[in-house]
Amino acid sequence: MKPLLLITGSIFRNKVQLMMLVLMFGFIAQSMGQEGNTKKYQIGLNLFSLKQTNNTYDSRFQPAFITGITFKRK
Amino acid sequence: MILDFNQHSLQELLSSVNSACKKKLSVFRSFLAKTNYSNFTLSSSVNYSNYYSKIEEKGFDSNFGEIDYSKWLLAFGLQKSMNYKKISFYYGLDLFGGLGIKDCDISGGWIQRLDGVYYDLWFGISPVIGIEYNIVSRISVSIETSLDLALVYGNYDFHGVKLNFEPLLNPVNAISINYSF
Repeated sequence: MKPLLLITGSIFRNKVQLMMLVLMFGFIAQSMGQEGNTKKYQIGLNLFSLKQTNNTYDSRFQPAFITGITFKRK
Repeated sequence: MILDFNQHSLQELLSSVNSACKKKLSVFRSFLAKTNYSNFTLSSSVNYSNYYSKIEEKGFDSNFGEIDYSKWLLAFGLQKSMNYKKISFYYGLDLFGGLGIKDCDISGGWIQRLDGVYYDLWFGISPVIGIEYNIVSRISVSIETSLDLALVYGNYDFHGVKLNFEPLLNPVNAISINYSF
């Protein structure tokens, strides 16, 4: 046990960091067996888009980041 | 070239094709059986886009200048999804409306000079298809594509205020991260 703690202690200096990692793995492992979500509402942040621009002089596909917010009621 | 098909070999071929088709069909049926079809989802969104264009002078009588274009769109729509384990495919139709604000300074050609802020109004429909993946039960990521079929009213192409039809393709309408509650 002690060498393991030494190794993990040397990689993760901060105990909070280690705890967060364990929680994250637990969270992912717990969700592995789950099917899709059945919650009623959903809010989303649009992180990226590639849209066609409109302009008499210039028509192209324009990338953009953080372009909007979406709300859904299932 | 002579094709030598006797009745026996033809029957063998047909039976093998038949069994392959049945196998494919059974895989497809099991996929359909495991797929959940949801009721309609109501969606609403606010979108903002901005782009800057610099028009280079391409010889005598051509226009040149710059346009800074911002567009705000509000959309409401209906979506239907097919859920298969952690992945769901969805399709739907959005109704949208919004405002475009065009800050431009263009000279040359038949235009003489256009310097100022112009507005145009957007209304239209937008078919949407997308895929969503549930990372955990509450958090998911989705990617969708759409085609905006819009009517634009305003000083759209600098020939004066008029109504235009504008189809715009959005290969990536949105890559989004979603939280369910």
